[in-house]
Amino acid sequence: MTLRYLLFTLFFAISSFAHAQAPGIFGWIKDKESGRPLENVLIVDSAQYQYTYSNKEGYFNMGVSTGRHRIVFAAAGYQIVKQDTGVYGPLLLNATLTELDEFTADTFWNKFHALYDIRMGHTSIAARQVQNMPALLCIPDPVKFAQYLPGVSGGIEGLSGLYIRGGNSDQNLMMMDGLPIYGNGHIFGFLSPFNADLIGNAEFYRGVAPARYGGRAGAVFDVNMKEGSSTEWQSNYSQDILLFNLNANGPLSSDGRVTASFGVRRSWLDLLLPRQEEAQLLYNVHDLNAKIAIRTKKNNKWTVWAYNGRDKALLGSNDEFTDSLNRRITDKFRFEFNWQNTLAGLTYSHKFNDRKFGFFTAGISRSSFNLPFEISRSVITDSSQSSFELLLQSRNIIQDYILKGNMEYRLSGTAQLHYGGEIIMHHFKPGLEIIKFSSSTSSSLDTTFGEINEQNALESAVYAEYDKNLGAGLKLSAGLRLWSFAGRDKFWIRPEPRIMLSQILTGQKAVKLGFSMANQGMHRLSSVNASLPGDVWFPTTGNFKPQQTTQITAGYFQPWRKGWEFSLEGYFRSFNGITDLNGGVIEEVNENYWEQLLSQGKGTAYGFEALLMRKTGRFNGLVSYSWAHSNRTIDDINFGASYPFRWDRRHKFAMQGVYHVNEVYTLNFAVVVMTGNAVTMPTSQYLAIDGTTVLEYTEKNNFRMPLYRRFDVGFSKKIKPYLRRDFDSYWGINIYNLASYRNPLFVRVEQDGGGIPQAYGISYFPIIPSAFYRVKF
Amino acid sequence: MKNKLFMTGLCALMMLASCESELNISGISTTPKLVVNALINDKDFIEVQVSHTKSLGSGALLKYIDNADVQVIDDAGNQYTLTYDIGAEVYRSSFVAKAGKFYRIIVKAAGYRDVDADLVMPENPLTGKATWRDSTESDSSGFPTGTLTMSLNDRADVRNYYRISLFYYDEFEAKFKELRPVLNDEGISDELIRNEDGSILFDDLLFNGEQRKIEFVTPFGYATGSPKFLVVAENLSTNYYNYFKSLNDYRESESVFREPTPVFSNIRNGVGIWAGSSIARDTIR
Repeated sequence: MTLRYLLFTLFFAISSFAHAQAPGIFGWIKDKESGRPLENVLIVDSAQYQYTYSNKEGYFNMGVSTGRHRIVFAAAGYQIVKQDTGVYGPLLLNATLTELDEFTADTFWNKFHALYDIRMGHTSIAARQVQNMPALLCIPDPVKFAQYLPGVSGGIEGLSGLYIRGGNSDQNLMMMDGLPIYGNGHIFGFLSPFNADLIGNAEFYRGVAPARYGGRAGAVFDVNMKEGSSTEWQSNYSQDILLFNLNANGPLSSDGRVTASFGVRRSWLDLLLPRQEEAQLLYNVHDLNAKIAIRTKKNNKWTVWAYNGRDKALLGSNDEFTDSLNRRITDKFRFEFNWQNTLAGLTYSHKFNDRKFGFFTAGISRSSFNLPFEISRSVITDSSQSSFELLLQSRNIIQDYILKGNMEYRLSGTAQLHYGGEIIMHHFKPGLEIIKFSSSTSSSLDTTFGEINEQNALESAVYAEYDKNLGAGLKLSAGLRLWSFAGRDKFWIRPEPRIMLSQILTGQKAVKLGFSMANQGMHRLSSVNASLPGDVWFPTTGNFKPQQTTQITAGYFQPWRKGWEFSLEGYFRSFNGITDLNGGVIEEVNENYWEQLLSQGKGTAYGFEALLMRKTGRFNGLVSYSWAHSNRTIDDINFGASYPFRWDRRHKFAMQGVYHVNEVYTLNFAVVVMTGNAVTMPTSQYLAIDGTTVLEYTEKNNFRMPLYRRFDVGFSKKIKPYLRRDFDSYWGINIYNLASYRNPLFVRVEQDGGGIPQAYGISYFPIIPSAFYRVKF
Repeated sequence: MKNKLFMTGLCALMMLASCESELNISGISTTPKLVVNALINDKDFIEVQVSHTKSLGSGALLKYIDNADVQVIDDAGNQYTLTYDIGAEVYRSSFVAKAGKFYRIIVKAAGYRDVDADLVMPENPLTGKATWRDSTESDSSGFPTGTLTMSLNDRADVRNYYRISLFYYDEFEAKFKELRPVLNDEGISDELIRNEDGSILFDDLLFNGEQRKIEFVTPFGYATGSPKFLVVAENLSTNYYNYFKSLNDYRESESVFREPTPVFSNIRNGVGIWAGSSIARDTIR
């Protein structure tokens, strides 16, 4: 009750400031071709070096002094727009930006972004960057693009894992359209739930995230799916060896006030297989995205969206026969596992006045994992009928109900305030075991075990961010988030300061500092090597503290010529309450309290990261290097001694590039070389009490896997349109791991005939060529 | 067309191929340590195995050490030297440990650091009279099975760990032999450990301080003539239980998605186990 009151007070008390008619400019920025609002556009008063960024609705508001001004609008991948205007009070200044072709480098935005963006360890990932990247099986994935960035370890090769600056992957706040998304994606994590063809923009924070983000102690991956075009219908279809991907977006009303965007991505191989009644074996995967935006008045907008992603594997049989006693027997068998993520949300955005803008969202996020096993038999004779049915089902469910509000308010010409709050009701159903038995000859059974684990938790937060241009190139962003978590038997409340400071130096350079604290009331019980669909989320309890990360970071930023941007960042992170498996395994969750399987302790991570990146132009891409160190100290593990984090990689070098040869051909490549991850190896062997030989493990993660190396290449070719002249068609080939390096994913230790242990690295990704076809219409 | 088919097939094969490469772990080396294994009880003489660890790459055989100095000291300060039994390859005492008493073991051997460990023998388990009834149920083939019932009176003030072993009397060989019955009570523990000898280990978490009946289904074929069963209930020390639990986890931790589980050890400067149990035996005729 207190938090709701605080939230309410923050929303509206601050809003009661008198609205003075101070000089300033405000307006809406759109994409010229599609009419979509453009987020993250830099608006600069070039004379005064005053600047701001547009919000998710493309709206901006900036205080300027009275007089003549040259205002520059610049966005990544767009031509800059300059407008000369006189400002003598609040002035509406709308802009439409035209997307650059793939050969033109954007030099202005990058230059200003490197200098003026106060955020460190932050990358805006554009859809075009993701679509052009070389990709395993030609399936572009924004999460895999992020794996090329410094400070990011991808975990098991091929999977869409993110282990950022020494943090666990459950510390990442993965968001789709502002709602948290659980689960590890498709095909056991091979593919993230984000359909690259539908991405509007993705904001990736591996450093200090603004106070508006919370609930996780690590990084933020905030993806907004594309809104429909308000000008004309646009579609595209792509086909690779696993999936087809069809999406369309456009106006539903003639005036463009109502727009829609739809997308379906599905595996197609199973559709080609004949359906058989007697035996079934299938695996399919799909993503469905839908988004409808309605602008009721100029200052109001309603957006409703939904997402469903599902994987399903099925093995079944249906056998009917007549036995020697002339009995008609029907046997059915079905074993299935499926997991799915479902999101649905409604956002109302409203411009209260020229200086105040608000977003209010209600939504639901649900992730479930089901493992049903069914058998049945019916026996029919001339005189009688008997049957039985048995269902055994394991289920894990987490469901969130979310309410959130974010306000933006310009306090003065040089200061801006973001404030808001959120309430999330988490509903956990881990480790449910359902048994149903019915029989014509005996009593029935319908029981559910594991309901003792079912529980709710209420997470809430209020926050405020104060951004101020202090003059002489100095900018401050000071934020505070008051986070609370009410678990089953304990209530936690903790402040989370977030401070960022940047100073522009002479000679087009900038130095930036950051400090943040973040807390997390959710813990994921996962296997040692990778996040899997059956992973279980559970809340902080009396036995388990929230996870907490404190981070200090400092960086040097410099825009280079021709749109290249260089950054060098150092960081130190300390983790409290960080979790690790204490030897148990996830299969046991149905039989045990999950608290027994995990232990909590402390950890540290530090390192530095260098990044050289260009987002646009004939040749674009990135070169990154990181030196990192990360460890854990947990009482119950490794005898309380410190040990390296499993995904601690001392050195990581990554390079990824796209070269547009001409209008027909595009080449791409990627190189990754990094230190092998840490695994636990035995140190000696001895005889157990029963006389068998056992291996002695004295230290956790005491062995480094061999150096990881990979080189990918690919190309795409634009081809003549088959159906209509205005259709753009492409096909292409990607070759993953061209040199076919055997990078071990797992380790197996076995003893040979002489009892001598030998370790083997198991690798799964040799050279893998793949192809795709894509058409835009 | 053939080339296309070949390329498609090749790609599919390459996709499916996973390969193993040998990892060089010869760089992992440790100084050899003494291994001391002894699980003692209040009914039998103490038997201690003494061996050593060896480096991973070493081709030498693991052997028991026959020239070690093995001393056991009780809580009264009495010191006993154990003598080596060549046939059994163990060091054996001439006394039996007592329930509730403290014992320390010290082992010295040339070329190794001295090792030692402590234990406190648990109290004897409180058990009720065990019973057996024949032909109470039938197995999947329709043969009659019996039900063996025993009971434990659990002490409320401490966490207790139990091992139950069952034996049947083989009239032909005139001795008790291990029986592998089916536990008819899966709710007895969250973490039931089944040993290869058919015994079960569990804690009292779900019945602390209560009297608990435990039923076993005895298979067909063990009730011919005049059936005779032996029920052995042991109250285990915490380390005793931890050792078997870790050994059990160690043997199950071969999945690539599991972290290797080290086998529990309480031997200072060495490896192994020094733990005790107290026994209650009941014979059913």
